[in-house]
Amino acid sequence: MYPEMSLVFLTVLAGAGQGMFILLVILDALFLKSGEVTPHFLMAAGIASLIFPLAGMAASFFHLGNPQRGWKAIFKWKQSWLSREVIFLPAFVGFQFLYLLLLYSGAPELYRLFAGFLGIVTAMGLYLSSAMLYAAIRFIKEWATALTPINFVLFGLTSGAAATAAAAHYTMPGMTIGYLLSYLVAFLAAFSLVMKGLAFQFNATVYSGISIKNALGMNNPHIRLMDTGTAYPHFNTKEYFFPLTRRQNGIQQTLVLGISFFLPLLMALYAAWNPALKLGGLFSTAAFLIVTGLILERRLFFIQGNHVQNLYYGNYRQNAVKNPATSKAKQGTPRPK
Amino acid sequence: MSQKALVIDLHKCVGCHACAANCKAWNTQGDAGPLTDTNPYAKDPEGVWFNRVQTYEVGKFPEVEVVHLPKSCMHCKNAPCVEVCPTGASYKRVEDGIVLVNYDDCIGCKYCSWACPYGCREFDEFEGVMKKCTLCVDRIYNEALPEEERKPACVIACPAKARAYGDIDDPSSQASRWIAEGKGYKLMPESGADPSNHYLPKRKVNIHVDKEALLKVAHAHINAARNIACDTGSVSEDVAQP
Ligand code: SF4
Ligand code: SF4
Ligand code: SF4
Repeated sequence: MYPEMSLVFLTVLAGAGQGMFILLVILDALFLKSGEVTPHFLMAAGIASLIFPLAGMAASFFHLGNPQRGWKAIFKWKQSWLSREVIFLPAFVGFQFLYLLLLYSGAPELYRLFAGFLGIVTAMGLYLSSAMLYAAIRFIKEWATALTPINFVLFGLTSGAAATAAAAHYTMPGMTIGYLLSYLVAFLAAFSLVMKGLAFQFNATVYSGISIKNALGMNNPHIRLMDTGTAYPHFNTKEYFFPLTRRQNGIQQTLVLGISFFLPLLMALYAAWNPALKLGGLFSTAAFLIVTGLILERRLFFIQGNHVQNLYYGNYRQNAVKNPATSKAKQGTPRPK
Repeated sequence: MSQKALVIDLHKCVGCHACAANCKAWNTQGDAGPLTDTNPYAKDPEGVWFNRVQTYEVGKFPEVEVVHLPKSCMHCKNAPCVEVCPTGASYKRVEDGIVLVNYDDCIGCKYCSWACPYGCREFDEFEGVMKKCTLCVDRIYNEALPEEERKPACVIACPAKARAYGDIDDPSSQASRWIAEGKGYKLMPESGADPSNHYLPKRKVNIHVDKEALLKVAHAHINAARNIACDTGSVSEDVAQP
């Protein structure tokens, strides 16, 4: 699929903001009373977590052909994941804002935590709906897997945790929470590394069970596209296909794993072993790396998505190893009469 | 229930693109037009087409044939494009099963195009809305047109009479008869979309060639060639001696 950068920014940035907000509300509920986190930290991290989804939302408008009536997308929430995403995004931002307002005004803890709780619920709803929007397209096997929603949540939490750790180290240097967050970032980065590795493996071997034979309804092993029709290239050859050689794929996969998860994992481990150091800078770098890596990751997620309509234009990437229809053994066997 | 659709006979289709051209012409000039283009009169023109014809080589020499596949929206019974539309701009009409886009509600998110397994939706960059074959809804019910012209523009244009239009749920319609008689099938039925447009497969044709008849034709040609050659006064050896 063509990598639509506005959607890449939307999902990555909002995902980081959601992760950050979820974490800080949990920290608030568990540690504010005992003084292990400060209101100053909550405020700083809260504002940062608000900026992320706002930036994502701004980016998303560039995707629409008619953004001025984008609000109409709330109508079909009963059937469309996109519609649900459009509802959850502003709802999440709204609860974030309310939470920060209650924190700032010193309102009773119960109200603040309730707003925070609703923020968590909408953040989870947003993760789920943005991921299911892709996973629900059954004609793109690389997207229609449980790995899609799991990874959207996981990667959002990872980037959010790194940003939260940075905020903790800046605003509460030397306090235990910053130290604990190092472990959390290390754990999430390691987990993400494994899950993205699995997703890449899945994409390399997934076979959709469909070929040009099904597309044309002709049971002949030799079908070759001769002419793509009027005015080529056009929407069908550009929206659903983006060139990616095996080599580029390999390089990009390595970069994604390295930048988004492996380097940050090393940094978090370093932080975990050196609790005495001031590590705001280290964690901001880690957060920056994760977000940058995730932008590359989400872009590659699009490009690796292989839509069945590509069959009609000879653009379908068959995974030859797993594809029984194109594998050598199958072609060698005589066809039933 | 009624489900209007097209039936396309791949055996008759000669790949002339007349259906595609007439579709473009009607829909760009009609009430819902234009279908915008970039560089329409220059090198590398690009634009919105509701109907495109792809050509495939099927089989290996000598068992080989050329198949032209005109493809436009299938007006699926289970249209996945309609299910995913967040605004409700994409809808399937109850009365005749035609799938349409309401351009006034479409926000141009392109989500429906991702959900279409057949690649039959095209985005209009200039108007920022999704477009697709309307089954010529502005022709088939158009009382300003003479009765016999109330058919899709592509059907009217087809010089090989390879396209039929009608209600596939009504067994007496021309479309249903074509499907029944010509073993009509659906493209990629495993998509689960249950497309309404049907295709009739290529048929095996055995033509008996009679040697005598062939020689007769050959001689007639040779004689004609000889006459022309005599007229111009230059009889070359190979023409003169069959
Ligand atoms: S062919 Fe595509 S655009 Fe047409 S109804 Fe089916 S899914 Fe929708
Ligand atoms: S592009 Fe338009 S018709 Fe398609 S899903 Fe979006 S709003 Fe609906
Ligand atoms: S029915 Fe009309 S809109 Fe659809 S392909 Fe034919 S001419 Fe084009």
